[in-house]
Amino acid sequence: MGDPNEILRVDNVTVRFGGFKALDGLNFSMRAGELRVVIGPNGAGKTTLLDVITGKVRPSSGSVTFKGRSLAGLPEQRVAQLGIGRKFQTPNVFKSLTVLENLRLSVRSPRRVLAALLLPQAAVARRRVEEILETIGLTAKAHVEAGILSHGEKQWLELGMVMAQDPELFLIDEPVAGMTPRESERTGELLLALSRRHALLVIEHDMTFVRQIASTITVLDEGKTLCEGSVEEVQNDPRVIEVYLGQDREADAANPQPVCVVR
Amino acid sequence: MTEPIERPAPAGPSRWRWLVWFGLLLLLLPPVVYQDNVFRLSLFAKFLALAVLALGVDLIWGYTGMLSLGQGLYFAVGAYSVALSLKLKQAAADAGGDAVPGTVPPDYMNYTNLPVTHPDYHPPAALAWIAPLADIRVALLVAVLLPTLLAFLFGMVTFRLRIRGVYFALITQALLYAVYTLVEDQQRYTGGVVGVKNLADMKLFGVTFNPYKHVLKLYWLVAGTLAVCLFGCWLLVNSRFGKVLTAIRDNENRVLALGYNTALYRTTAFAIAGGLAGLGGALFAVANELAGQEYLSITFSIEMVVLVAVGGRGTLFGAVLGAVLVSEARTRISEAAPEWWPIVLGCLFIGSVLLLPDGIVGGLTRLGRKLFRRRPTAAAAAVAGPSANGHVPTDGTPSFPQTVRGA
Repeated sequence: MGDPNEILRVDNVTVRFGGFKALDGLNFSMRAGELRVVIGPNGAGKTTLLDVITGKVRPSSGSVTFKGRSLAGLPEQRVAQLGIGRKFQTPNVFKSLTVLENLRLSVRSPRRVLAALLLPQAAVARRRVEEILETIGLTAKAHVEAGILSHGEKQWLELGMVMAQDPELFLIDEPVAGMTPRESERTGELLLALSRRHALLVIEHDMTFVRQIASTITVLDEGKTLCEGSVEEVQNDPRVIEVYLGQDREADAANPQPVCVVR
Repeated sequence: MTEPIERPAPAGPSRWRWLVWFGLLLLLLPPVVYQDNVFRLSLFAKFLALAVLALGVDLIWGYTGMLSLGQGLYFAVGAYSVALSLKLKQAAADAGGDAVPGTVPPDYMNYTNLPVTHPDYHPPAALAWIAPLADIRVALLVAVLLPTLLAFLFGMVTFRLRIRGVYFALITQALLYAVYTLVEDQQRYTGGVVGVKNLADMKLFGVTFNPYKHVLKLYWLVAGTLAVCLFGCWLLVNSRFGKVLTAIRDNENRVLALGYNTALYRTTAFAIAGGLAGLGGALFAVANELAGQEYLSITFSIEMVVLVAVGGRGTLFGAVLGAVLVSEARTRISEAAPEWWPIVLGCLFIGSVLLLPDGIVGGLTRLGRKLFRRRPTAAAAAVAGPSANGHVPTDGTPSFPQTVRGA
């Protein structure tokens, strides 16, 4: 509560899907300008956390606060307008619009229906779109339909779209999934550059990438925060090793099985 | 740096601009071909009135991805507004020289009443409701604004409840059927299964429009209205609003995450389509000299969807072309073997879905690209590739600037 730099606070949030608890009394907070990586095994609740923040999923209990303002009950578009941008897990671009049109819809401009019908886009916004095209390296493909871009290009385009929104908080779900190591490294550079001005919450599995960008890591498991700390701290934390590898090892120890039995 | 971006897009609006002009030129054709054939020309006036409705269907289905099977409802509201207006005029004329339109009830309202000359005769209560329509200008305004409002309200409810896809299509159809039954049931107010017919000629700004006596004037009225609507829709789909609609069709979650209130965008698009349907209905009622229950039938609304599917959804020209071609086919086939039309209609729909998913216009566009070997997307990349930002892709992966700028 007291920290004036706190931009996001997730307080005791529980999300139930039927009998299953995707998030279970989760507490989580971020400071402005922080780059935080969230990791965790499958089903730990990483994407649900993003869904709760953006208003896509309503928490069964608990609260989410952004810049001291409760997000309870706000529809998704209002949350986005407050300054939270999201890059989805799989590339979500508008496939039948051109790269340029994708960015023009994303860049900061009035979102109201009448404005979209009647007002031309401001020159500032158009310039910003060109800068972003340059940054994501798609200037040459500005007039290409986004649907025919390569997977990596789509990932970058979507990152560019979130950049165009200019949110205070970026939520980025698996930015380097399906990228080559080289593409992945460049994406890391981009995120590091962004983190100088924005708060970034990144979900990622690729540990090479995580080591490249992370200063602080939060580990989720079964809808709760397992631990938080630097890359080394987290990697050496016995609880983390336990959730990633432990269950199998325990099972192996209790009941050793040959890998293959030949009779 | 700005030059390659401001260069008109090869696959963008400029490609379609000539098509729109070509379409407008086509409107000049029927009066020339059917110079002396009043019957055919009045049919074309009807087809073009349907094309106005089809533009709306294309807007919500082709561009936004919302399939409505109930556009006949908004069409009928427009048609009945104008037909009632002309009916009041006719009733006044039938009653005698100096009767004011709006004071004399149409014949069908008196079916169960005493004779008008009887001392205990009471004018039907419905008359007071429709009396303002006696002024054709009011009727035309109502014909456009009432369907727009109805569609807006319908959209507000359904889209805010996040009703989508097939559920949305079913609800539009259910509402249509409810109104269909209501119209049949409330014969004293609506004319029931007979409809509102035996209409006076429409007189607007001193010009009389009649599908037989003044067919050319009527044709130009309808064709002119269609041209204006086509141009308006063209501006619309190329505006940022139109791009948001396409974006909603592609991926609504993304649009929400960008901060757009998609329910309101959907509602607005649906309301515009409703207004277009109403306008089409108004013109159709004049050209057909009738507003009938069949406009509310389920097959009529489905046929309107097939028009767009066959012509090519997602292209405005496709909607107009489909409306004219399918309606012409309908006329020809119905003249020869009326019982075959529903079967042909079904085959057309299945055929276009299976063989030409983007309709005639889409198919022709693809054929043109093949013939001229100009895949615009590849061409754009090849032309702009090396010069645009100095990072030439060398290994097939897209280049990313070494130093991140603008962040």
